[in-house]
Amino acid sequence: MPAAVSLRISADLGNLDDVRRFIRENAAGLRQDQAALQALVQAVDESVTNIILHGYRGQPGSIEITLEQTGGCLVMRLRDQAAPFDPTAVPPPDVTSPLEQRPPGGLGIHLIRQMVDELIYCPGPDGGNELRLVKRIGQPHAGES
Amino acid sequence: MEITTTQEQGRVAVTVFHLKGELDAVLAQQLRQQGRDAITAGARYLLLDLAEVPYIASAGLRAFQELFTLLRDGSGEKGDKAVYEGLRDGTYKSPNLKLLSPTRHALEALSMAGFDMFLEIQHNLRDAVASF
Repeated sequence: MPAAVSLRISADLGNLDDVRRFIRENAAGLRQDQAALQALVQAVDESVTNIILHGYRGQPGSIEITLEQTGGCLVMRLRDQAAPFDPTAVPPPDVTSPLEQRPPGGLGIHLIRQMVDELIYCPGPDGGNELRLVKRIGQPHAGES
Repeated sequence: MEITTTQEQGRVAVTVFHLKGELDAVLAQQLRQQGRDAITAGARYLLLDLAEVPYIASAGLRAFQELFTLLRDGSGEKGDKAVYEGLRDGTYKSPNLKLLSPTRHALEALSMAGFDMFLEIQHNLRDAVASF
């Protein structure tokens, strides 16, 4: 695959379809591992949904998603210009408590943490946010390097 | 993505939502709204057919949680000591909201979120309707 591929979308939930398609089409290193690919798709879908709903909060804006394969890892960078928000600081929900007693929020980040190997947040250099998701993969398959 | 509704009659009248497509934040909003409308119109037993749902986001799981709570609040069970203890111990399954034929990914998401503790999973329509 090329060194890095990018997708820029406006902050609209209607674009989530395009985000999932972008990951499926470009995460070449995971094509032989459908479970890992689906986990990565979910992690990015949840992250972008959080940025749209909790970062931009209905305001117009854009999100840039960059996918890069480096060594044995796929690295996704999500950049936005929303108010600073660190999703890695959200406490995990209690997934063993009775359903009706669980407060809203935190479930998306709980799923993201389970589906990637590393989740790193840093404030963007010019404001905004950068969230990096790292998924380790096996050796590249023949013809896919 | 779409949600079609059918009515089935077992021991009770069961409203079945057949979901088709990826249950992301967009379809989850639609599911919440259709669920609220059905419950307002009198539905008390809801079966969600997930056979054609290859993907469930946390927003979809939250929609299940909202429907679970709305149906439970309308069932008159709230406050019952045995139900409370069942919820606490993980032995309670909702008698009002059940799931039909979830895909492998859907099962994983339900399990990861701990939702399979409370929602009964059925694998064919006839048995599912009869189970209410």
